[in-house]
Amino acid sequence: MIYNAEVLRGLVNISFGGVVKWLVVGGLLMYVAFALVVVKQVGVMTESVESDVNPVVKALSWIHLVAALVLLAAGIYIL
Amino acid sequence: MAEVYESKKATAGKHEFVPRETVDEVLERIGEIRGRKSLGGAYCVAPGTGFVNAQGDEEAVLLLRAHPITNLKWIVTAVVMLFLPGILVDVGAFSLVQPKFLLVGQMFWYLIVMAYILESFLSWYYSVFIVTNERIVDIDFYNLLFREVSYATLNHIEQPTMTMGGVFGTLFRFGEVKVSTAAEESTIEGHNLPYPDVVVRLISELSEELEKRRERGE
Repeated sequence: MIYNAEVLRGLVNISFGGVVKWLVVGGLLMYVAFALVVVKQVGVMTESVESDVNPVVKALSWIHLVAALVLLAAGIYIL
Repeated sequence: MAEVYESKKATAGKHEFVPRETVDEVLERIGEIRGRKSLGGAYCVAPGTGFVNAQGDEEAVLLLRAHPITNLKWIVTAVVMLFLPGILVDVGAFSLVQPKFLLVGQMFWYLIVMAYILESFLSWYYSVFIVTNERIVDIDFYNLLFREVSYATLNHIEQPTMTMGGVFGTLFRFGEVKVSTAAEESTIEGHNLPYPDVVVRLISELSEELEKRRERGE
């Protein structure tokens, strides 16, 4: 009974900041999906043309994905 | 006894191609050196680079990208995007925003800038126009999700044409190369290619060599 009351209070007391936070987190989640697409497409591109730059480009795409995941975590825990 | 001329490579299967020795002669005629690279990789002569769907005896004679000057626009945009958050924070545009939202927002912005730079570079670097000893290959990445690859064999092309104009085109010597074929997809176009006059001349010379070989029955 007490637990249910606390949950209800939590739902009623949703702040504007809380709404913005989860909207931002939702946006970051979509960006992580985009970063995954970038990794996939970089793979397609590097298969099209051989080049010494290919490993660097692949590494950058993975760094970009990791950065997106780190930012998602930051959005959940900092905001 | 009739001399047996081994021409397996030239006539094997349905692939007609110009052999390496003849490619070297053509390059010498047009004043190019095998292995030459210039303009930051936008103009490469016989680089020895593999590419998608390359045939067994096929070698890239010219590998071209858009002239590097065409990247100026996105480079300037990226630099402006990098400095923008700092400027806006300094003028107090986000003074009412909570610091934690500001931090995450800035990190997100820089991530977007990174993606913009990566996408712009990839679109330039992997959109290539390749003249091989067998055909012309045009690979265009319009964005991360859309790729177009066009081929035209040298023995099916009609006279290639080039256009070079505008201030930048004339100053930096880049332009368009159009190659027409009799196929349904009748034209392959290379945009903003360096030294388009050399490209057209090379295509014509290789095409003529292939025609001569066919007439000789090689």
